[in-house]
Amino acid sequence: MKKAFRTIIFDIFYLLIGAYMVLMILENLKPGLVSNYVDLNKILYILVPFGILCVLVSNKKIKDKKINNE
Amino acid sequence: MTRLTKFRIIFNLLGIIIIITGIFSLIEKDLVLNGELRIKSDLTEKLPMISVLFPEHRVKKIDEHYLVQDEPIYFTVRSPIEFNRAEVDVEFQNGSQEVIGLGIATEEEGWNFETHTLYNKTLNNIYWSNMSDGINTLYQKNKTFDDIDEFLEVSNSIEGVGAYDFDLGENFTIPNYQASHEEMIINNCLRGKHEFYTYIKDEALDFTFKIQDINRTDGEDPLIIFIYNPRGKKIYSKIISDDGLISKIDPASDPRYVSIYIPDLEEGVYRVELSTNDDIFIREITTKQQKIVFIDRLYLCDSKEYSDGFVDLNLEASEVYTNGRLISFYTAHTAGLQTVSLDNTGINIYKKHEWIEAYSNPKLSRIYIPKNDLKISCRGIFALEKEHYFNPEIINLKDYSDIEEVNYIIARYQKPIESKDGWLKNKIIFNLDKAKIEEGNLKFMFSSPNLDSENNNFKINSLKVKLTGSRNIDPAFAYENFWNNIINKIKKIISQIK
Repeated sequence: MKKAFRTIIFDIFYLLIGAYMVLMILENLKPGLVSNYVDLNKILYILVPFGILCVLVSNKKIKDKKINNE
Repeated sequence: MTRLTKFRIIFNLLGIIIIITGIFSLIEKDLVLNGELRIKSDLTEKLPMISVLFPEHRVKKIDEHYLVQDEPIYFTVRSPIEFNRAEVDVEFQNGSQEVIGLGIATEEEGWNFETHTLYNKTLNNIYWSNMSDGINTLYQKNKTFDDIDEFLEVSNSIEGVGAYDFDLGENFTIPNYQASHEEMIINNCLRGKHEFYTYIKDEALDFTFKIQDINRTDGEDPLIIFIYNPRGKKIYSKIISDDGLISKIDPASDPRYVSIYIPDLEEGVYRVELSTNDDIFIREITTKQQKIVFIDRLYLCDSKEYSDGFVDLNLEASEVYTNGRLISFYTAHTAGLQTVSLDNTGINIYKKHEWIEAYSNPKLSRIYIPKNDLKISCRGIFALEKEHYFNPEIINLKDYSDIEEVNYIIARYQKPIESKDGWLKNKIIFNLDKAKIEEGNLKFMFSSPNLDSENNNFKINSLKVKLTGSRNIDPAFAYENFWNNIINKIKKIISQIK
């Protein structure tokens, strides 16, 4: 269950990163296409906590592995 | 395949579908396929489609509205496609301001805005019969017309038609005007910058100015003359350099004569601008033109104050005629302190370096100035002889004055509607044919004269903008155009990298 949770967290993070990058590229190709309707900074506000959560989860994973190995 | 892997595949697919749907909905929104975009802001926060008011130092945010303390102030609205028309609804309070304008940046070179009136106290208070078609209002002294179209059909052939921010599509003409071959001499001494209108029909524009430099301040004192034709185009300019005496200890210079003669001109009103500083005195104007009226400002200087420089001043009282309603007087010298008569009412000019204001009667007013050395300013025109008077601004009123010659006023203006808590609401409609789109934005401007942070300011509570374009946009064409633009941009970036 723990592994499934970690995997899903990472998947969501990758999806958000991917969406953010696509939106940024579109915004650069046609200025206003995204920023007219979506505040790109607000996506960052979601991305950053998820990023932190991913770091915490992966640290926990490494620790768990170490304990298992020992 | 484990249950987790299956779940992940479905989860990721769902995520990708949501993202792609989101992106397509953004593209569809951006293409504005229904041809209409509505943007609303209560100005409390910065929204992607509409900016807040800027520059910040000219406005003050109080609770949930803005206090405008200086002009001009701007806001921008995103325009993802080219629209034909913008309807801007503004909720505001005029405070003590008599006129507030709202403009939109146009494509013309430089800082250019097409401005219309959001609030005009004088027009709001006209007691004449009035009717509106949603954009324009027709005011009638005596009601003759039942609708605006009926009036516009005959507006060229009836007398006493005034227009405010409305193009009647005609030039001002004086019926039965005949050119004269007699020379007229205006021997009032005028100090500094002046502008005047004159009327030309079957005659040359012929002026001779006698000028003198009093040399009261250091530096060169050039005189630049500009002449504009009836369509406002500059047709002549001439620079008269300083005579070489530039120090304030130099004596007043000898008279110089500047002549202008321009033949073969079309009939109409010409504006002559004499641009200079207060060291230059226009001692005499000789002309064959019969109609001359000065615009907004007169500085009469036949006063003993200047006798140290000029010994031949005509120290008699002056008479001036004006259609201005709020008239301001100013003197910088003790010799200019006096009691001026405005429509036979005494106005005491009791203090130096202070503008003293007075209201005239709603007709052509006569001002009698016993001692001169007085700046007179108003929004209107001045004539130095009653026979010189004519009012070419009647077809393009910059400000409304209840002058006798106006029977009808057609104005591109709607009286604001009062909403809750004393807020006023008004709508201005702009045609966007000439509007400038800069980095995908339309730029709007609020303006109002004489703003300050104390008493003279106005408030803005909310803005609503409705942009409308062509309703028959073919979605296939719009998408094709969009992708072509994106592909071109990518190609451009690749070629730049190469």
